[in-house]
Amino acid sequence: MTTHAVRPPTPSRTLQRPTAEFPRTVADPFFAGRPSAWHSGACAAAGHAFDLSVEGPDDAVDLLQCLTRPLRAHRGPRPVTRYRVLHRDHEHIPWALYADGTRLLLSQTPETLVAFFGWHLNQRMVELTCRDHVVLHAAAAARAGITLVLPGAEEHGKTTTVAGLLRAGWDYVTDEAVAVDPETLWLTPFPKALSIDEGAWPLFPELGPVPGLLRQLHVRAEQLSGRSLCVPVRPPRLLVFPRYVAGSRTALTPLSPAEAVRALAESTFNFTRDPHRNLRVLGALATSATVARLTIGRLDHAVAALDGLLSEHLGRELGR
Amino acid sequence: MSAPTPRSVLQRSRSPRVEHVEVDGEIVAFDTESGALHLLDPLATVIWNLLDGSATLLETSDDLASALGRPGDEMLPLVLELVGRLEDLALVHRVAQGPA
Repeated sequence: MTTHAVRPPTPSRTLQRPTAEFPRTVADPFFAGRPSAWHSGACAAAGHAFDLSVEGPDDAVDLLQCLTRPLRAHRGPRPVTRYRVLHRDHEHIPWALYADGTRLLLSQTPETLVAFFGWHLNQRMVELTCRDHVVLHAAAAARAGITLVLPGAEEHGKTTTVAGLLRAGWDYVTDEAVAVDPETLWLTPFPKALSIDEGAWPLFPELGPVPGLLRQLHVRAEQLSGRSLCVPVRPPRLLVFPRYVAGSRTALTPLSPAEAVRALAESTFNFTRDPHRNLRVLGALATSATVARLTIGRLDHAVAALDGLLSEHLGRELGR
Repeated sequence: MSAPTPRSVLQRSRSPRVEHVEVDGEIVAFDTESGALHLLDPLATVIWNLLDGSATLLETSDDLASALGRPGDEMLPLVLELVGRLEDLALVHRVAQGPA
């Protein structure tokens, strides 16, 4: 018998909020008199429906578009949360982000604001979607009708691995969180911009030079030749727990379904909120998929290993 | 004062504070109070499934021994040890004894 504490995962990235000059809360008239330079249209981060208006220079709009464009909702719920980005040239801290009239952040640079907004969207997606889905801290991709889920904590290599898969022809589901329907096990995609950390940039020279202030690149799947999936995808048939270990040999190691359930529990947001439902769903996921650990030394080897696992799985399916 | 009751004639039941799922012959159990997650091996899983509060550990052990074709006195220490560990982890508890 072995025992582990469940440490709930937290969404990636938090940032300190500087002191404020913009009002903490504002009523509608405050916004009504201000021109809106750009509007995102209706967007959805799984269960979080929102839109965004931005007044400010084009460079800020470009950065924010990177976050919202992959989440454009052409069908589905109307925006529930209305975000506004305000900009005042003459202020010491010129940028502010509001949600429904409540100030979330003041920022000296648009880059900081964009990083915070990305983190905030992840938080809200998890918070709202956990109510009726099991939400895993995981990257995911699909190919040939087979869904691969890569659960794991921050810094385990989820985003880098899924970025490598997109470049190799896989379709994009998410690099941060997947929502599992507790009855059908189908996944609601969260095809946000991939957040590629500085350390992985040399692996993706096709993304070109990076502006100096950024520590994290927000990259759309299409920039890596991938296609984003925006409709529910089939239950995972491959469940692989990645872990980047510098200098190691890339290797897949089989995992028992029970070990997979334990590892999935550690990657489930708000697991303790409904452990009965969550364990049932995790058990069903683990018994209906090929499960393995993936130690990653090199990205190209990891992609080859996952392609190989997919081929084996398809071979077994077709041989039935 | 009555003599202490031998452990083997007491009944045990799975703790109501534990949520669990069985996958491929192994239990994953979650203690909702401590937040600990436990993985039970196949033998512990078989014993866990028998701990419904209706049989004594001696009966459970005999039941297992006859199913496995092994002598009862060989199985009993194993059952007692495993149940002791499950008790230490608060996964099972003693069933209150009613009046005789």
